[in-house]
Amino acid sequence: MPDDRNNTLEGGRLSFFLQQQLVGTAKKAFLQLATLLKNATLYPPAHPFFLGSAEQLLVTLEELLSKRNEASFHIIAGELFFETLSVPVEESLSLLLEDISRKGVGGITFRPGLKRDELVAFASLMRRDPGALEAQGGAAALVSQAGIVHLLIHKVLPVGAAQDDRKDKSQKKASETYLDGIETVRDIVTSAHTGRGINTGRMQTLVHTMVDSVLENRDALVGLTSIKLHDEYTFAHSVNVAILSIAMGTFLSLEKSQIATLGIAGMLHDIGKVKIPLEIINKPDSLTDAEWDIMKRHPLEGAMILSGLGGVSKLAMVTAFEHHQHYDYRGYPERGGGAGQHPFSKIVALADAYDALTAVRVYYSIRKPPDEAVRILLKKRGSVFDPVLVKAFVNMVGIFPIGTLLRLDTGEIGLVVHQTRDLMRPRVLLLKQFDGTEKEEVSLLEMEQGRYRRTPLAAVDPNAMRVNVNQYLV
Amino acid sequence: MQGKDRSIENAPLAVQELIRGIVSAIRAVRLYPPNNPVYAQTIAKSYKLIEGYLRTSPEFCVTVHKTGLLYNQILVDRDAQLSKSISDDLYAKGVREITITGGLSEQELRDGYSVLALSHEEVKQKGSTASLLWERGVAHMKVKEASLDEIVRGEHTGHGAPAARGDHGASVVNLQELLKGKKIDLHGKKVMLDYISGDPAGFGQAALEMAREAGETRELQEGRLFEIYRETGRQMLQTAYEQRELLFDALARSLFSLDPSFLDNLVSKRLYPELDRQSLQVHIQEGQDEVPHDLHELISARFSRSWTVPQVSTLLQKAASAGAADLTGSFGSTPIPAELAETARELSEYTPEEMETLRMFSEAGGERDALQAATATLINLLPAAQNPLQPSEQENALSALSGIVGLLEDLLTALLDKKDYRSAAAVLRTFRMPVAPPFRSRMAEALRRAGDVKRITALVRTLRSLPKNSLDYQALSACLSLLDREATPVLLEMLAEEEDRSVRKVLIQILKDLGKNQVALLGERLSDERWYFVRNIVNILGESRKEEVVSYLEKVVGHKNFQIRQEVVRALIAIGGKRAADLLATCLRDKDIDIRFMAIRGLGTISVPGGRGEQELVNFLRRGRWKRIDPQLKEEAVISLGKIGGQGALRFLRPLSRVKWWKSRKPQEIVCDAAVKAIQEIEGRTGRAR
Repeated sequence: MPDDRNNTLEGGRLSFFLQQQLVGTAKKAFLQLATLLKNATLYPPAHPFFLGSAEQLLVTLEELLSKRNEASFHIIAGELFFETLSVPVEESLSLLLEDISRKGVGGITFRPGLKRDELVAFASLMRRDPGALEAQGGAAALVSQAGIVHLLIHKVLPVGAAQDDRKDKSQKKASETYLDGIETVRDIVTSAHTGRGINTGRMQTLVHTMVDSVLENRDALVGLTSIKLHDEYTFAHSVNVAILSIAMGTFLSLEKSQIATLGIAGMLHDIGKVKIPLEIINKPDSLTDAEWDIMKRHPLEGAMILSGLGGVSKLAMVTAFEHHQHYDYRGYPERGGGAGQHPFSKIVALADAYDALTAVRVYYSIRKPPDEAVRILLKKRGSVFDPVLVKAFVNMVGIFPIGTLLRLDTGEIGLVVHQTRDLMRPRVLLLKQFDGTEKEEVSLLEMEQGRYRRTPLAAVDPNAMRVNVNQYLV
Repeated sequence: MQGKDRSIENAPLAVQELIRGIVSAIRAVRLYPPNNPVYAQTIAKSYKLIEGYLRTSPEFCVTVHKTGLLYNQILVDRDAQLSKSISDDLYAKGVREITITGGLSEQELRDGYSVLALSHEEVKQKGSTASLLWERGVAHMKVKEASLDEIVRGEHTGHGAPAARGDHGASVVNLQELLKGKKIDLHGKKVMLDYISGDPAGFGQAALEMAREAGETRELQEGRLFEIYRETGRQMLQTAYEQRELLFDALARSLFSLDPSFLDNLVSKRLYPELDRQSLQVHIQEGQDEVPHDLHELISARFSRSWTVPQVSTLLQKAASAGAADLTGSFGSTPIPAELAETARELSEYTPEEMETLRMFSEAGGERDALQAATATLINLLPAAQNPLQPSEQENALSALSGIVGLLEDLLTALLDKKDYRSAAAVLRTFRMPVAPPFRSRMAEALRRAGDVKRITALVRTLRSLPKNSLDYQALSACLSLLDREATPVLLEMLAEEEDRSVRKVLIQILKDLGKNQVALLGERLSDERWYFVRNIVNILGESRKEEVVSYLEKVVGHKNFQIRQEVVRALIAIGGKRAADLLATCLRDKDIDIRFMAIRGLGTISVPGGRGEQELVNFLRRGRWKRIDPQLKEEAVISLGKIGGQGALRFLRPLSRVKWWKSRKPQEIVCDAAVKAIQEIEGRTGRAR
């Protein structure tokens, strides 16, 4: 069964490019399966249309099976997965997902050696209504009885308690890691202030833990970035940028060591601010243009500090220097040469801006809906930010980030806990008592009788609802 | 705040006795019912002691401190547990000073003690200690409470406001006058403004005591403390706007007198966020959505907690000026716009071009990529390293620059290893960048190290192996060109040692490119003993086509080696110009006919009419009248003269155009023909010129 919450990279790293290609092929296969099942209800088994659709599906499946021992599709809470990858499906196909689920099929595994006749036989079996299938021992048993050996049916598996327990553990671990991150940043900053050597060993250990944590459960750590620890925001910001950068690195399937470098770069991106005179930093008034100019020197100062820091990739220095340089070559500081920002700098810049935008809403209680940050990022595509990266970033954090409260058409209030392939339909925790004890998670992709069970209608301000979102995330 | 504890021995014995009496009495009232004999005896004893004291003094005043009771700033009976527990209890109830004045009756004292013995909760329920004393008609016992000092303020002058501190003193004294009688209402308690300005620390403690009533948790207490300060500030602005600067300064000082953790949390978690919230609201109202937000840069930079009084004073004033409401701003419930679904759909699909871009992202961070990015960044850092942000760091500027240059040196090695010649060239170009005088030697050192013999040798070998027009060849050539000063001698040596002619040709070609800017360096090597070495240098110098080369060639124009002299003539012809022509003219006297021949031809090419070349050719031909000259040489000289000659040459050539009957005819005819043509050429040219 795939881990529907994670984007684990077990079994070898697949580049983002190849992942997307694979998702495309899987989607194609599923569409062909839908056609086959549809044709099974319309034509007799020997009909050329029916056989032709089975043939087409077989070709695609063979393509998928050429590089693996088996090709597995799973349906979990209305979402389709190929192996561990979520596969986007149109609303029309969601009906098919629902129909298959109703027939007790939670997943299908295809194996090498699959024959067209096996597909035909399977599709014929699936014509029966759920009651009939149940009465005859279920789809899995019937498939076995029919001698279909290269196709395996999996039962529908609810998101169980075991997963809840695992989630709690990873949540706890993520919280500890997060707090350790704040202390580490505090330590780094103090060291930089006093001119003592930065403890790179501690930082690296922390970042490695963060990378592991994100690889294990991205939502747990990324969710923590949304709470903006009120007391410690100055330090938390660096931790948040590190986490978001790491998450982006895993989303883009970077090498693990590169993800760690990205994390360190995120954590140290603002280190140059320790060099800005305190009378500017702590000035309780608007800064003059001259003071802003000094403030804008922090990327340079950061790069200077990091240039002399051993044990840390020089890409951290590059990122500190470039994180305010824009995609369109504006921004600061000015640079010689024609090269644009390094990809890591682009990622860190995006994470930095996103955290700043969401802080406005959470930390300063400014009246901004949660999707405002995404809107601003989208607006700045092609000028401040790399447009493609923004797209990928939004796909990672979602339009409604983790921690967003949504009012659903059922009247329920849901707290976003996981992004799905459909940016408008995340997985939510249904809040009833608002006391942190709720456990019921549902996907807004789940369907019933051809319609989505729940649809978000509005984003709700936790302050207005007097909901302490932090208790669900920490 | 009270001063530091002093030795108990300093307190008069009578006073120590008196205070012990008070403490015992309060304790007895607390422990025993009124009908208990101990109750009455203890109070009576205390009364006698007080009465005795008041016979010589108008009042008796004792200050309440957490650790004990103080008389004239002296801690009395410091170690006695009894005294400490009573003073601690009084302090917790907000009592800071007890003053007993003459005229006190025993009943009054009994009532006073019964009030002072009340529990914290009882006092809280019934109001305050001062008001309870007042209610019970205790007129000769006054207490000064935390944040509530009006009772003692009016009558008592002996232990008034602590002296103003430092430079602040004079203004505080004036302020005290201006603030006299002005008060604010803080949670039902009257606070005199001159108290705040006169005893900021006292006010701080009082505010903290009030804040502690908000609850057990630190967060609640801090929240209340912030509200107290904000409310105090607001009322200050209303009551004494003119004196606000000094008042807020005092308010800030009062914060600084608190436990540092309270100060830090109040400033970092309450005051700055409040300021930021106000600034952000203005920013948003102005419709700006710069990303990332400038202000956020400042907010996320407040790592240090070294606040100053003026900073905190301004923060307090801003917090007080802001509206109290709106702290919990809310967007309520925002409907999800329909177009968001369309955006989401658009975002979920990637075009092939986008996929390609993302593929590049996923491949970032590799070794070569990191080297290139680090190189570019370090190059950009060099100007900043020379101009540190803090003037105090100017002394370290050289070390900062040196560090960066050192890194670039390391990167250069790595880049060359990875055959990234383009980035390597960028590093070398940086080493040649003009810098301020203090940094020049370091840059020169870097350049010298970069041009290490082994490295240059290796690079040249690599260059030889590359296809001439390849990008790598061009990039590596650029590297060597940038290292011309260092590379030229190495190349010359390589050239001298190389036996393979084809390789020598390649080396010369490289040297021709590099040597262009190294005339002086090459010129210095012309005295080398190896003739082929010198010949190569002359060849390269000639290729430079620089007039300054001529002065170096003067040294070897008369070299004993024929090949060198021949190369010099070629070089002079290549260089051209008056100076080269003049030197070339001297070659007409060379002992070798081939060189003379080359020189004659050369003069015809590079000399200018009327120049030394013309005269030398004429002289050369004149010499030939009495000294036999090869007719071919003579013919060549006449032809050259035709090319460069003027009126003087014409005069000289005319006789040569006529055949002398007494001389052998054939050689004369060759020269005559040449002279006729030369005359025509000169006349044609000079005629055109006229």
